Amino acid sequence: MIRYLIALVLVAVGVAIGIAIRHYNFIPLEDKINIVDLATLLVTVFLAIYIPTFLDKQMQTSRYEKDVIIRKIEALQTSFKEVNKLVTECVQKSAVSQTNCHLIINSFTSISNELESVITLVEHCHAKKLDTELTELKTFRRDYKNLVTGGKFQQRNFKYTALTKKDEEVMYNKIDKAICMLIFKVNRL
Amino acid sequence: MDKIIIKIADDYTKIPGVREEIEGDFPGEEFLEKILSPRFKQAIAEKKKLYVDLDDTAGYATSFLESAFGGLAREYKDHKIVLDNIEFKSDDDPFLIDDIKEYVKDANNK
Repeated sequence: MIRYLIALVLVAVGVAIGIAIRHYNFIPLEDKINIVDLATLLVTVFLAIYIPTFLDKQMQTSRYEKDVIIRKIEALQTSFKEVNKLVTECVQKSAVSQTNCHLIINSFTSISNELESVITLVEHCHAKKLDTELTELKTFRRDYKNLVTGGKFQQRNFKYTALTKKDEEVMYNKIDKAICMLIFKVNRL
Repeated sequence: MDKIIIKIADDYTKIPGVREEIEGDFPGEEFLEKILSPRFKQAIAEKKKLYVDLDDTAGYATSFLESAFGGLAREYKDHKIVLDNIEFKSDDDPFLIDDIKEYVKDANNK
């Protein structure tokens, strides 16, 4: 409503200024039209309308989409962190409790679903541009799951060895770095 | 083509466990011996597909999946027979089917 009121006021002001100029004629007016000046005027008017109406809106939409994707990627990063913390806790306690077993397995189910969401969102918004990065993350997820829940995992008295923990730490940091790079790349799209 | 259906949550357990029977409850090895392998043989004999529904469990560790599905591929010494005759359903974990197919493919390389 306010927008229409402002538009109405602006039109009224424009008409008033036009009448004033015509009536008093104190501003000298050229009878001939310079084509360059006319083109400049048209381009200026076009930009004045195009930038706020279409370009800004497009940029806002794109920014919003990127923010949503980045939020989802950060959630995925948190889930990987959760697994890393659980494995660290198991190493510190020299035991993998049933609760921690189930928490680790559940975290991997969450990771799969979060990664799938990220892939769907990226494909929806920026088809194919991040294929390599997403394929790499899928491979990392599988390797990480195999490392953490493979071998004798869930066996009674199962413990992570120091070597497994080292490998897990290396793998986790590789994943964390890949996720950070993905966030940067989504931000630059 | 008709299907023989296994729903792990109903036919075996909602809490899949370890790799081997001596290691703990509901191991992949037991699932292979008692459910997966007999039904797979039946499916092959009756020229049907085996349809494995993986949903509604507490989730799967690599050890269970590798032991069960990798074990089936080792039994037949050829991953193609297994992959050609099994279909999977996994709405709970979108990458579980890909994971299982990898275990099956890698089973005879070890």
